[in-house]
Amino acid sequence: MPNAYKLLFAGTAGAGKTTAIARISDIPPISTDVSTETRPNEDEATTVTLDFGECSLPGGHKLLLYGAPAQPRFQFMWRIVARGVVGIVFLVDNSRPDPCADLQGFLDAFAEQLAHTVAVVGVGRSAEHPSPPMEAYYDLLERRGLSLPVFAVDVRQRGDVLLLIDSLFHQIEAGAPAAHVKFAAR
Amino acid sequence: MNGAYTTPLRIGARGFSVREQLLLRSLVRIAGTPLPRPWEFVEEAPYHALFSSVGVDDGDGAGDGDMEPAAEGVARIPVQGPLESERIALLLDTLKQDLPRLAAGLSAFSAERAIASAAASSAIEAAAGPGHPEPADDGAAVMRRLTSRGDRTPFAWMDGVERVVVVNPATRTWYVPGMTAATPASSAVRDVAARLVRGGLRYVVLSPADMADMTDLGSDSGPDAGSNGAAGAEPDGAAASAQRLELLLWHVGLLVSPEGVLPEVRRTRRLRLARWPDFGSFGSDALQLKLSAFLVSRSYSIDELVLAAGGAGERVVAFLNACALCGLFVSDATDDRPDPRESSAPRQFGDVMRMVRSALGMAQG
Repeated sequence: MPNAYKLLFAGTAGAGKTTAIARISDIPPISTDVSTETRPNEDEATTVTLDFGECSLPGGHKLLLYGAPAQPRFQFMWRIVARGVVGIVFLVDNSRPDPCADLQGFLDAFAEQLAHTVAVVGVGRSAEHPSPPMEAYYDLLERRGLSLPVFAVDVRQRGDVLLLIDSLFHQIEAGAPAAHVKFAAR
Repeated sequence: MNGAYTTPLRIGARGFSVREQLLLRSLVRIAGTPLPRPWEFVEEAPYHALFSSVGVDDGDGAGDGDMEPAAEGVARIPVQGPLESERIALLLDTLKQDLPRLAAGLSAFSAERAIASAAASSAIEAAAGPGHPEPADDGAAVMRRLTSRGDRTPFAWMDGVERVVVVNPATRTWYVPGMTAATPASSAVRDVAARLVRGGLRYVVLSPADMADMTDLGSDSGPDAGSNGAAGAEPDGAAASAQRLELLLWHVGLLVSPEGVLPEVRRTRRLRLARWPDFGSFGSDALQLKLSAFLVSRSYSIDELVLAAGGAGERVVAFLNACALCGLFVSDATDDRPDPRESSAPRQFGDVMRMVRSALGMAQG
């Protein structure tokens, strides 16, 4: 029986979740963007609900790609979409005022999932905005007892998105906690 | 006369008193007046022609100037000293005959090279500032300097008068002079790493003024590309092309010792990574990702790691060397081998990941 396996992309608005999904999805990503004109601090058209893409696998299996809504007011959805995921890709925008705090917020929100799910952190715009350095993210993770990979990436590049996913798989193969959690079938 | 000669003929004298040297200069001035090539009397080597008092070392390395062969490319004019008045007329006649022949027919290529070399040395000394330039570095010296945390003085490695790479330990950055936005950092770093590991480059200390054109990566002044453009963005011009030192260390580590393990790795019984290498900047392959995942999850000996990686010992060692140079290892990793009864990743996961990797065109782990 065909199964579906889920990957979740989480991050602040503009961190590149939609772009990352578009780079590897077989179908044009389905984005439920709506205008945020009434909220001047948010992008003009940003993802306030979900992004969705998928990759077809042999045997009718599917890899489902979800982009979690960025806005805290949709936080209630995070746990729902994170249920049964293969892994979580956290995307951070290094040009934001406090990107470490951004990551911290997502780590808090997904703390329960991180106990049994592999994850990776992709830091964007670090070439133009080298501060904070990668070490700051590693320090943050270490304080939380996490040893996740942190990579400077450009999610417009398909290779960088694949690097993030491959690092999830290698963690599973190396015996990271998620390896002992049964993948959830759709 | 070969019009290509631009340097004056260098004539020297060794083993003579001051008075005799003045006399010789006068004689040469008289005898050399009709020379078609410019000449000068010089105090120091290199020489095209050298008056040598018989019995005195002429500095050619033979250890004895007594009719020993002159240094390559140097025409020696032996003079039986002391220069008494009755010999002067004879010497002048000799010079009148010999100097034009010397100037016209001297096979001076070696001397020309020596002069060029001396000029290069002067340039290096000037670049190095006061003091003497260091001898050329071998691979070990390169690593020692790159990983040293004590001295924060900027420096460069030079090939002749060309700066191959400039390093600023204070900001932990490096750059290649002349590197432009069109030069991919990935290819530049591999080229620089290969040259450094090969050795033979000269180390010179740089002054702050020399570093004025190097961008401090610690500043946060770059333009916002308006998209998630970390790795894809290229800096404008050489001044903006400074790279993180870890990038250079990583690639030097991959190349530095293909035949052996670095001492930093060898003396560590159990290896464990404190964090993942920044593959987003360094580039990676499937084996490096696999090794990183292993070494972050628990500690391994080198043999265990080679076995877990399915062989490829040389590539494992290269990876370990790179991690060591970047300071990624935990210093006191304990033996935390799991109970062999614990199951590894369920077979189902292996199948799923194989399918996904195949569907996305990724290398199989």
